[in-house]
Amino acid sequence: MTETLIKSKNPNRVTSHAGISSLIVFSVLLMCWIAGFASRLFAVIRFESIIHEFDPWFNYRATAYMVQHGFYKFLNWFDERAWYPLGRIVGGTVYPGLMITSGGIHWLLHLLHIPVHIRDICVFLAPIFSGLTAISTYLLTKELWNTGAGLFAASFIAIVPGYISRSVAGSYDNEGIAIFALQFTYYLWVKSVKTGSIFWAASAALSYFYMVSAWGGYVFIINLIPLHVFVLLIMNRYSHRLFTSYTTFYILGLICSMQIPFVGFQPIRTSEHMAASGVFALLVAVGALKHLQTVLTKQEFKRLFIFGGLAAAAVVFLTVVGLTMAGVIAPWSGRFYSLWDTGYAKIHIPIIASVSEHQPTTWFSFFFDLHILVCTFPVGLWYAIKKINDERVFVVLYAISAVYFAGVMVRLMLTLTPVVCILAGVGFSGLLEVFLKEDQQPVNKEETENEEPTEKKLYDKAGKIKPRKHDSNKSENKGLGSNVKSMVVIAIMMILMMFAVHCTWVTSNAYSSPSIVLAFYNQGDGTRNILDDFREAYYWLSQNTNDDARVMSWWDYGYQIAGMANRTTLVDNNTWNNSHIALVGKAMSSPEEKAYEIMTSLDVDYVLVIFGGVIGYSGDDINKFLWMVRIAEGEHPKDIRESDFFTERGEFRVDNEGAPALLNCLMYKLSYYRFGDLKLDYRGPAGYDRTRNAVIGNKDFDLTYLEEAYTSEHWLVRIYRVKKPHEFNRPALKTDERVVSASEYITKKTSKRRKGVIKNRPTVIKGKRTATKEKTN
Amino acid sequence: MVQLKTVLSKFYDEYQNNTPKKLKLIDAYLTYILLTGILQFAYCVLVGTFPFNSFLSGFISTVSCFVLGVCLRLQTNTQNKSQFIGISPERGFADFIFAHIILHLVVVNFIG
Amino acid sequence: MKFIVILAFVSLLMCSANAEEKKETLVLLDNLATRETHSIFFKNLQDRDFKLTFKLADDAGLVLSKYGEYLYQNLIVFAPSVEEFGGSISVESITEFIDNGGNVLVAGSSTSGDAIRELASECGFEIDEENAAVIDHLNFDALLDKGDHTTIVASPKNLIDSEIIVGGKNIKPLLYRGTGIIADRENPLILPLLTADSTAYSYVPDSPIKEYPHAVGKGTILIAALQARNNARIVFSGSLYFFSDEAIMSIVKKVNDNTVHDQSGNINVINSISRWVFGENGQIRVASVKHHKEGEKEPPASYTILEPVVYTIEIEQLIDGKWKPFVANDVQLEFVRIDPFVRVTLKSIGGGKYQAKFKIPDVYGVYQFKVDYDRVGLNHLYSTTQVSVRPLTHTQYERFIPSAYPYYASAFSMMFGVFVFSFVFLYFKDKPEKAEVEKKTN
Repeated sequence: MTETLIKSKNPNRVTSHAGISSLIVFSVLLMCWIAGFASRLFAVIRFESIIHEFDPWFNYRATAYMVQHGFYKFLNWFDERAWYPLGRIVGGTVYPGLMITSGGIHWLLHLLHIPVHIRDICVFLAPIFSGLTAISTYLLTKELWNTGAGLFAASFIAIVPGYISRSVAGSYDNEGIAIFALQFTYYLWVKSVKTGSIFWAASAALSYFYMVSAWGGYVFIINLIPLHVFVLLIMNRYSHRLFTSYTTFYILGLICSMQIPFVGFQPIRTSEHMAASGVFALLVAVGALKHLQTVLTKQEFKRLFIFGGLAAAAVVFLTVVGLTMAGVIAPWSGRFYSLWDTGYAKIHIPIIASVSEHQPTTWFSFFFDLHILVCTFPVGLWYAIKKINDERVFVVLYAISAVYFAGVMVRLMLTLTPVVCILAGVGFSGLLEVFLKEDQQPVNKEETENEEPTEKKLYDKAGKIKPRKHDSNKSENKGLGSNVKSMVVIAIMMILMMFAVHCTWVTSNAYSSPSIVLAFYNQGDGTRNILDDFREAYYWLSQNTNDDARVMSWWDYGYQIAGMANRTTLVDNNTWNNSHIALVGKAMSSPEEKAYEIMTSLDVDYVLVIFGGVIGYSGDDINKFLWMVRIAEGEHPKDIRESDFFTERGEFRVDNEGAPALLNCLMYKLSYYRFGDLKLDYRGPAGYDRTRNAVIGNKDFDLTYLEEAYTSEHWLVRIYRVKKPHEFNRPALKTDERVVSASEYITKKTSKRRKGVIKNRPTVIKGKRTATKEKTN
Repeated sequence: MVQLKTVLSKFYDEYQNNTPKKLKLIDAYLTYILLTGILQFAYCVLVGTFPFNSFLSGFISTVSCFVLGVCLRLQTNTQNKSQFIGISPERGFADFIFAHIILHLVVVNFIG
Repeated sequence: MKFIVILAFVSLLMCSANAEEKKETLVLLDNLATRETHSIFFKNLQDRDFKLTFKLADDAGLVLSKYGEYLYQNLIVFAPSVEEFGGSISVESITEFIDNGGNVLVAGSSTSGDAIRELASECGFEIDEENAAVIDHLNFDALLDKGDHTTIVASPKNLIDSEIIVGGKNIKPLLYRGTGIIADRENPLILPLLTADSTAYSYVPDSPIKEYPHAVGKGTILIAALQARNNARIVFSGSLYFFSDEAIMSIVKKVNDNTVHDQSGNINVINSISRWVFGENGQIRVASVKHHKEGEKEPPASYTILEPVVYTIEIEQLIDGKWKPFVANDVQLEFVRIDPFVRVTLKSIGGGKYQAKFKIPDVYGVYQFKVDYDRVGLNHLYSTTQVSVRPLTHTQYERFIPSAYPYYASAFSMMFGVFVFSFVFLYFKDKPEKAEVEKKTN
């Protein structure tokens, strides 16, 4: 990888031969692709070729369904195994781009008689697309700056952890292909703004269409591009090129995006999309005024122009507000609000806040995911602002908005990563350009001045951007000796090398765990053990339960149960129905009796819980439990109250000081059933929970309405069977409920003497007889 | 009012004299599209938007035809030559047809 | 051994398949004399093809099941004074027997032992305290009573309103001597088959009343039944005497009443109850369930919303050992997805078939056709059939709506316009340039 980085600076050195430079470009991109692909394979090599995590399991299942049944069946797929008993229309609630892409590859390979299992395509799709992302990043950066920066950016994006986190082999998710689509759309957009060509704009619309089909993040594009146009208008940089490209892009993109069933009429109905149409109207108005201006070229029209522009903007704004008020346009969705107000989700939509990747980003994770790039990208940004032109306005806006969104949500780090790579590429290339160039050529003012424009033309195909001046550099360079320069170059090399090392390290340690197979290292000898409890339990489910058995679990595991065990689930990771999830949350947080009522009304056959207390796995259901309570409270505030689950001092604890509501709820009982008898080691007390470092508070209890069906090897997955009503055959009277007090009869039967007792009957003779009988028996 | 009238008449004269025939042709085409669009919109206001996808595809197809026509007009206009470097009128027209092919494929798919 | 298991299994299969098969019944007695004193009852059973096996309740060799298979389908416990069962039988094994579908008839007396009490409370009843008996100073038998007013004459009017269980109410009075039963009021499965008159109470005779009796008036249950959720049937009688030859045959003369009945009505009630408890009576079952779209024969893989659907259920009743069509007019069908979306009364179309036609609601999801028929005396009929209801596919929406024609027209006119325009445009291509050239030359 370091090699790649070193090479990427070569174009600056060898500028005289176009052939060699394009060879270098080609080889660098190829190596980016290979390096990017290779570094994403850690998970496959360490574990196996397997689908990771949660959402990918659904994507994989959907893809497999599509490959098996064909596209139209997929489009109309009504999945009765999910969201029992509501069912889910998969075709209409999914971004089908991912499935179509891998299905298409599968089809193509089979057409060529290369028999590849669809799972392998799914596993390796994201790494392959990372190469395409690198290329489109290169193209975009080249359009924005020059080839050198493009190569830098390409090699950065190939290995940057922020992007690898979503695109390791096996992480078969929308983001894997969406970042490629994002970058490619931006590239085509920049290209079309530069040339004003309908062709590029239409291509951008097509690419946008692909993006829409692949990821909900398309909203970012459809807001960023209008923002770009708007800012250009404000900066008085209107041109016919802008008009051509935006209007074409918008109108084609609009109608294309409505072809995706999941998106439907949203582009003209929801507020998120309104900015784009507003800018469209504004641009048309401005275009018309400009046209008048060119025809008449009079002083009054300038005033007319300003007035008209403002009026148009006001009209558009008022229409949008009016329509929103009238209910024609849906107001911003909750997820969107949570982007502006980070506290919003926590208060109003716990289900969004409960997802860890929707949490605000910490400073640490910025550095962790981007490393040195986070420091150098402001340099690139500064370069871009300093030498501003139409396209660079775009990248500046992109950077600013992406930084903001990444700060709000960890997940949106993903949109920040590409722009950081681009700008860091620009920054590095700018730096190296300064130092290496001087190194090569003796300081000769005139020569450098003469050479520069010719060099520039080589990188910059559009050519009409004014070449950058090196005024500032020159003044700096005067004071720099060659030693200083070479030291700076070496320092930069060192930094880049550290970056590469960091990327590899992060990838191998943090992002290459499939999370359905866990690995841990023995403390003593450091050998690696693999915990395969999840698959073990899912396999048990698939083999030992009825085909139509309904499994209740928290929604995190819905996709996995459906994908691996092929059983009906109540809720899953597609969190479209909050009240249904709340019902499951309510069942989990109620005492057994009430939970049983809910479970029978939902026809639940099995309950699956994840329990990490034995091995110290922190992502288990008890740790997620408060979210269940919160979500349940949102829908059933009378029955479930979060405060009941805290101690008086406001602590959430599972030991004997824990709140009674917690110690008696279903989730607690299912997690800790029989755990009180388990001694993990000889010295420690029984029932010691390693995850929460506490001895559990409620040890001796029995389950009335459920029975343990299966517990995996490390107790990670516990499955319980819900008893059917007919198993509570006769409501027996308990001893303390009786009117007539029961006598305490002690059995006289032994293993030898098996005769019963009858009152008021002489037993003298019979006793003898039975004794002989016993012997004969 | 009078001022406006003079402005308009001046505009008209200018248009009549200084516009190449090719642009006039495009303008005629644009007028036709504009009329279709207005008719359609009026119909929609009267009848309601019930087959919403049909309305959208019909209306958007007129809007985009108009927009594309304007783009073509901008690109073929010799006055704008400086802004569209590397786009000859032939290239512009080819792009125009390209965009139209995409557009109409999508419209037919969407119209129901 | 395998052979025996298979045999047992086969015999069990045959039993369930053919009701005329000998019904294995274990009779536990505390005194073999009971066999003689209750001979009419046992004779009746034997005449109805029951194969009775008499054993003493404390017999050390008692077994209910062998190799996991039950040897008997029915159990009669006529051993009120048993404190502990012998052999492998215990209260737990009997309750297990019930939970596996076995039917049990138990009779107690005023000297009931612990085993009977335990068994009773396992089923949700209680037998009154030791030596307590039902006493009725106004309704005792003038001839048979020994002075403590415990041989009471129960009126057939106090029988439960269910012909299936107890037969007709128009019978002679019933003779009863024994203890009272207290039922758990919160238990919905318990049926009080026979209650005492309002003047009765249950207490230890000959002792001064110090505490309020546990059972008073109509609350004193003489015979109670329980139909468990798995349709196992249990009958508890507080009186063994009720089944005896003496009670059946004696002349009944209620005190303060001059009418003399030459025989009590016990035999009618005993026969009805024994028919019911051993599953000869009041058995219904679902013979078949069919559902399909209207106009079709076979059920589809999944329904689509708003489709008309036809649901047919065939219910049979066991009459004299044969399954015959069941007749009723109150069978209801629900179409449920958590909540019932449709609830209709099924129409009888003859031959025990009930049918409903309705339109599937405009909500997709996984539904169940649910027939839940629970009537006193009949076993609980519960049938669910799961079907999925899917939304319209993309080809099922209405197309070519007339009001959309203008839009079609405009869209196609646009395409046509582009076509014509491009021809004209290409044709014109050179002329304007020429014109311009001309202009310039001019």
